[in-house]
This record gives sequence, C-alpha cells and structure tokens, in this order.
Amino acid sequence: MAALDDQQSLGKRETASRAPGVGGGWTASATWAVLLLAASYMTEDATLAETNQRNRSRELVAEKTIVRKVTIAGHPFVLSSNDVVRALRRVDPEPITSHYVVIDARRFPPKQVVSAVTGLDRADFTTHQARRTLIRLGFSAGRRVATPPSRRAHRAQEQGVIESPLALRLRDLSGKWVAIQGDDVIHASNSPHELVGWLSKHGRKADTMFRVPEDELATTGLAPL
Amino acid sequence: MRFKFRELPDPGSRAVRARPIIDVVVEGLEIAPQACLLDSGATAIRFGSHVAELCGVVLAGAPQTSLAVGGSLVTARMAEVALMIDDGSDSYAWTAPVWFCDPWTPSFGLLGLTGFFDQFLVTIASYEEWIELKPIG
Repeated sequence: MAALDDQQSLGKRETASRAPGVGGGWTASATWAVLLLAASYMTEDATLAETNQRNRSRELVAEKTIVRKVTIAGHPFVLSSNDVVRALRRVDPEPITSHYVVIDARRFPPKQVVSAVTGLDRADFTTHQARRTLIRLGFSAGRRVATPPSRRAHRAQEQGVIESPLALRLRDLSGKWVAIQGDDVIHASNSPHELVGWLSKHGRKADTMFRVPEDELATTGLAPL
Repeated sequence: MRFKFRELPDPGSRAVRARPIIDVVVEGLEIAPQACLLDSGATAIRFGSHVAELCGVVLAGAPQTSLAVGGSLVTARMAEVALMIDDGSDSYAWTAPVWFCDPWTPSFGLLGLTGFFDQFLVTIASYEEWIELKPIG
C-alpha cells in the first residue's frame, strides 16, 4: 500500500508539473485516472515497439529471399521477395485507400504490387488475395485507419503528455517534402516538383505541403538582415 | 478565421513544437496549399522560387533584389499573386506582392508585413496555440 501511495503521489506531482494551470482538489479517482491513462500509454508504446520489431523482422525475412508457388486468379506463379522488391523499385506508390504493404520502406496498395509483378489485370484478383500473397513472401501489411482522435487522446495531447501521430510520423521524414491530408502523409518526395507531380498524376489534393524541417534554421522565420 | 498551431517534430530532439503555421492556397497551385509561418519580422511574403515554377508564375523581367536571409545572400523576384486562406468555415482571398527567393532554406513560406500583416488583424495566442485572423476593411 505504501508503494501504491508513492505511485499515486508521483502521478500527482508529474501531472501537476505538466499542467500548471490546473487547480488543486485532487481526488483518489482522479489519481487513478492518471495511473490508468499512463498504463494505457505504456501499453500503446509497447504495442508500437512490438509492431516495429515485427516489421523489422519481416523486412529481415524479406531480405533473405522467400520463394513461393502461388496461384492467383487460376494462374500459377513462382514469386520471390527479391523479384517483388526489384519490380517495384522504379514504381511510384499509388494512393492508399485502405490496405497497404510495405516494400522497401514504401507503402503500396497490394493490388498494385501483385499486378506489377504478375502482369495480371487488377480486376482478376482481390485485395485480400494480393495481401495474403505478399505477406507469405515476408512483407509487412497494414491498414490505414482514419478515425478521429479520441477524446482521451485529445485531452492527453493538450496536456503535452503525448504528441500527435502525424508529428511522430514526420520525424522519420526529416528533409523530405510531404503532402498532408487530414492526419495522413499521403506522399513524400525529395523535391517539391516531384511531390506536386505525384499529386497531379494521381488526381489528389493535399491540405498542405512543406519540407519537414531537418535543422533549426529551417524552422525559423528568417527576416532580411 | 481561427487556426490551430501546427505540431511538427523539433529537429535534433525528441520534442514536438507547435508553430504558428497556416496553409495558403497560391493561385495555380490549388492541389498543394503552402504551409507558411507567420513571421512579423519579415517585411514581405516570401516563398521559395520553386513555388513560382509550380504555379506557373513567370519571373522573367520581374523586379529583383538581393537579400541577406539568415546570413545567406538570396535573389528575390517579385510578382503579384492571388492568395487564399480557409479555416474550414470561412475563407479569404486577396492579391499580394510575393517575393520568390532562390536559394531557399526554410521549410515553409514566410508571411510577413507587406501583403499579409497589412491585410489582417492578427492575434497569436501562443500559450493556447491558436491564431485568429480578421480581415481589415
């Protein structure tokens, strides 16, 4: 019980320092809410770490070259993970509507990948078939979820406890030009011309575009001297 | 019109910094509004010259000047450009002189005094991380 009391008071101190404007009047239920909130973030962090680890191991597996015999739309193929990576190397990813697979650190719609590798018409197979084929070749797959941030996440964000998912994702794109729509990075390029070219080619409209700042100089307003 | 500060990763640290950035639609480049930092220290609106190329503004023969920006010498050329901002419920369009600079190191366009701060009554609530713009006149 003493340890719990210590934890409770620690939670109280930490939260008070993060939200200096919040008045006193702490109750046991408020303290428990803080502890539960912290525990859920730890769980989220752990889940994220596990996902990253899983993705890393999948990438490693893909590097080892996996070869599979598959039948898609009645046509037999022998596909290797290396062939997939090679075939997609010079292909621009199309916009992700829902499902995606990660090939060489880029997200592609599964049907685009399978069509590019097999030459099959996309109408001949389903996203689920394409996704399953690519997962069996060792590539990681995911699904874009467009859910509004929860009230709890919003409140926590206001208190500076966690950062927005978008800011988190942008950290890996330092120095890249990005097109953002809602809370999604819809495309990243090395130049603004490439980025706008991609938007134009795919009939997409961004909410905003900018280069993710790579140093302090890039983030500061620079008045003429 | 009211805008929330934009959260971006702080370079060189694990932190996130919210900044007074709004998106400006430049005529001819409607598919990609430009993220712009409100910069009351800048005397005018400044964009990288790539913005002029992308929106089809011809800068040949345009008024030109050299500026020392952030310690580097840049060439800036001016053109009158139609701009628009939108907070999701209201929008405001105006035409302003924009200086297109080359080379350009900032990550964003800069909204300065002439062309932006002289168009709006600007409130920046840094503690609460929002910006309010009221068109003047």
